[in-house]
Amino acid sequence: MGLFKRKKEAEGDDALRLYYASDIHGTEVLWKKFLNAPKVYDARVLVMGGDITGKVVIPIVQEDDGTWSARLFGGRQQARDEAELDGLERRVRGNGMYPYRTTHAEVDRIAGLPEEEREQWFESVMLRTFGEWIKLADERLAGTGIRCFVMPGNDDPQALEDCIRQGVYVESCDEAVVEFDGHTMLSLGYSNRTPWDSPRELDEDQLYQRIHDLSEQVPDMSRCVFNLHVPPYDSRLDTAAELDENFTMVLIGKEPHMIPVGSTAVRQAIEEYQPLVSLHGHIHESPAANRIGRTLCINPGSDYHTGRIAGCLVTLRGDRVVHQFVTG
Amino acid sequence: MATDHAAASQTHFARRATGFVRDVKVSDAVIFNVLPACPGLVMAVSIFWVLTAFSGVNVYACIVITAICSFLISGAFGLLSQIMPRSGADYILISRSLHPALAVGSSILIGASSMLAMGYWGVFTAKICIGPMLTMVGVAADSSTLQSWGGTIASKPWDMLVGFGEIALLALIMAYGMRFMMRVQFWLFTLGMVGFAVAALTLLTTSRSSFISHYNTYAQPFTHRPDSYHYFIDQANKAGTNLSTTTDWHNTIVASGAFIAFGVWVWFSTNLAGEIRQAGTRKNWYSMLAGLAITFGSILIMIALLYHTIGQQFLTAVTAVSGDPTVYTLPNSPWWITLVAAIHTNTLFVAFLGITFVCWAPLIVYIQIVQPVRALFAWAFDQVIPEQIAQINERTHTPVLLLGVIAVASLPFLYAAAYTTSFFKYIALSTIVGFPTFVLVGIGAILFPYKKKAAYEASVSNVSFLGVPLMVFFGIGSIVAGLFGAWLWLEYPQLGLPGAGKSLADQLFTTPGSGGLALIAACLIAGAIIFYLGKAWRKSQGIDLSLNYLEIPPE
Repeated sequence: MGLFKRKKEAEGDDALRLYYASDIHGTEVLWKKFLNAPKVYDARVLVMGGDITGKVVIPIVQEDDGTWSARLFGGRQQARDEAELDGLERRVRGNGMYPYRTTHAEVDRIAGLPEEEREQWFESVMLRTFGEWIKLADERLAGTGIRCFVMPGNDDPQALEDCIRQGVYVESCDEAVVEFDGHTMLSLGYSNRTPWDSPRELDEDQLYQRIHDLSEQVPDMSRCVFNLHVPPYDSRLDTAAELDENFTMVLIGKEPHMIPVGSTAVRQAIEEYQPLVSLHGHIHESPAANRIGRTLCINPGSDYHTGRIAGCLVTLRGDRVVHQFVTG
Repeated sequence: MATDHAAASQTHFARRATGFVRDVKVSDAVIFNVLPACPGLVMAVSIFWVLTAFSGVNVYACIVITAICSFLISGAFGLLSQIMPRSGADYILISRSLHPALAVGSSILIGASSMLAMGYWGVFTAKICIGPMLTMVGVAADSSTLQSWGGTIASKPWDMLVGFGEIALLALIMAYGMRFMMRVQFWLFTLGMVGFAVAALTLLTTSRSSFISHYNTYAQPFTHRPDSYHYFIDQANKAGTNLSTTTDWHNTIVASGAFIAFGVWVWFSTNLAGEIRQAGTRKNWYSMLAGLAITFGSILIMIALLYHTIGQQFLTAVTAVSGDPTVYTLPNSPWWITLVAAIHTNTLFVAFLGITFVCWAPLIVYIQIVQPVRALFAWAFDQVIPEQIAQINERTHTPVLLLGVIAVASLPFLYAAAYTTSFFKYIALSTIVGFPTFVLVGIGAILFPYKKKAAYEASVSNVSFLGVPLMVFFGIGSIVAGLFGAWLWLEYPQLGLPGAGKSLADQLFTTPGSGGLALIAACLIAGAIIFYLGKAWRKSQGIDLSLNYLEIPPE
């Protein structure tokens, strides 16, 4: 039966399986799953494509009677002892938020800070947590031979890069071309402009220039992986609701107007350089795989708040590629 | 891209970052969950079916039994779907909690149910909606042309052609875009409910004696009798119809099967879970409960009003005699809407009632189209079948080809429904195939908190009662409801399932069209074949499908 004839080249010894995920937004359980993905999927390369940090800090406030309390999921949560406090913090982390043990006075102080100072405080909380994540990664990856590439996305602070570089077994790849098993990977975590004015955004021409400059380091595009946080424009990997200047969804007949929001620079670069495969995140609600020319473009999407990590297994062999979406 | 704005409060601190939105509003999901049991149509079909088929039936009790079953099943679906908010309903839920081969089988079972329902609801569009509406208006306007059109359109082959035209039009609207379809859904539903409310108000403000007087005036030109109301009761009595209003509990329990046929699908929005906003929150399940409340609340109110104004005895009698053309000579079947239309014969009022009633038909047909499309999508996304089958049109972002295929595939089902001698057979077959899915999802709900602990603990479904996950209780409930429904339909031939009442072996070892169990087995076997063929094919490409269904342990 020809249909079921095994293609040796797809699973042969020199085939390389890469696991890609993105946009976990501070969800600790997803980071742990990401690190364990090689065991489950037999992957030799891990790629985290950006937007790793979270968006919300939950103050867990010590009350006068020694208990701790927090507002979570619309209700008041209380912890009477250390074990319950650990459990509460785990629930906060498991939902992409950062727990922060504090007092009422400090909560009031932070609430009264100017926006810029509050962002700095927020960043310090994020980076402290991410530092712990990097330590965990080093523990789990030591001695496995697994290459683990991590880059910040547009939502992550610049300082995240320094944290990544502190890892022993975690490799920084942003704005670089790295090599593994006869393949190269060109990475860029910046996005085009968004309504949010997030920390790492560039104009389209700047974005194109950076990709162009990096591409000169790639010896063979037919064996190159593009790891670009923002997806190509109008590729079905980039459909999201249009927003106005007040961050309000543009409605047409009471329904959000869905438009392509990807990068024209990324699209142009893919069209021109035609890498083997390009990996993207950024637009959570637009998981898809689509070809632009010969390049297979993939966005696994993100459901980070569900505790399940949306990822993609990419099997590379020479100039061939096979993909498989997996949610673990 | 919606977001958390930079803001500070005493409960949390958030920063600027991108986020996302989805296409289907929670309110749309609520409406979607009402549609499998469109109150207007279920009233037309179920009530008049059970009143004559099951003497002594207590319709209120039937509805309460169905609502309990629906609540239990929705709990299992809702709590699981909140953990896995992806489009594909039972396929997604069962594949991740039990086994993907069973999940594909379940998908085929529900797909078979949807295709059969697409056939009979498509035919019903002409038979019980457009045809009677034209006749109703024709009578009110004293137009023999409209009455004649009403009769013609409700007959073969027009009923089938109208059904196909409706399906093709709906597929076209869905191909244009889901948001547009949601707008169409909203307006049709609103019109249907407004008509329903006006009918209820009419009944509420009409006394029994006033109804009898109006009805006798309305029926006189056709029956040529001064008191048609009591004439039909007398004739039903003479024919041996049991008009007693004393409850027969055995018959009531069996008759609840007729309501279960339509009333246990309030979880249908899980077909769209990946497209519903906040589907990972409790709003997912709550949208089902809201659908349940609207469905059963409106049906209960309408039945109470029909009993109050028209009378249970007359409703039973007129339904019983409507099959005898020597006794029942009116041009319309005695559906609830035609009876209400007899109260005020003002042409505009009758036309309004008729048009709003017709609005239900496309709604109930459209949700049947959604199910196979979303199921095939989910299979394709998991690479069980070629991705090309679920190819999205670049311009409309909808599966134009798949919608076209589904529309064409509905033709044999429309034909079967139109040309059958036993209409209820198709309703029965469409119903029986749902129960295994309820059992499988129930088992999945019981196992999930233990098999996929991390995903369960991170979800909003992580709620315990007496130290046991709430999902476990609803899982057990869904299994009990599924087995109860299956038992009713397999045991009691009055419900119309071919081969019902025979031994289980006789119902299993026959053709799928002649036995519910045979159809279930055929669907499950087909599911297993499709999954394992897909798995072997993908393995040859270097893809291991079993990886799709694993949860990565976090520790």
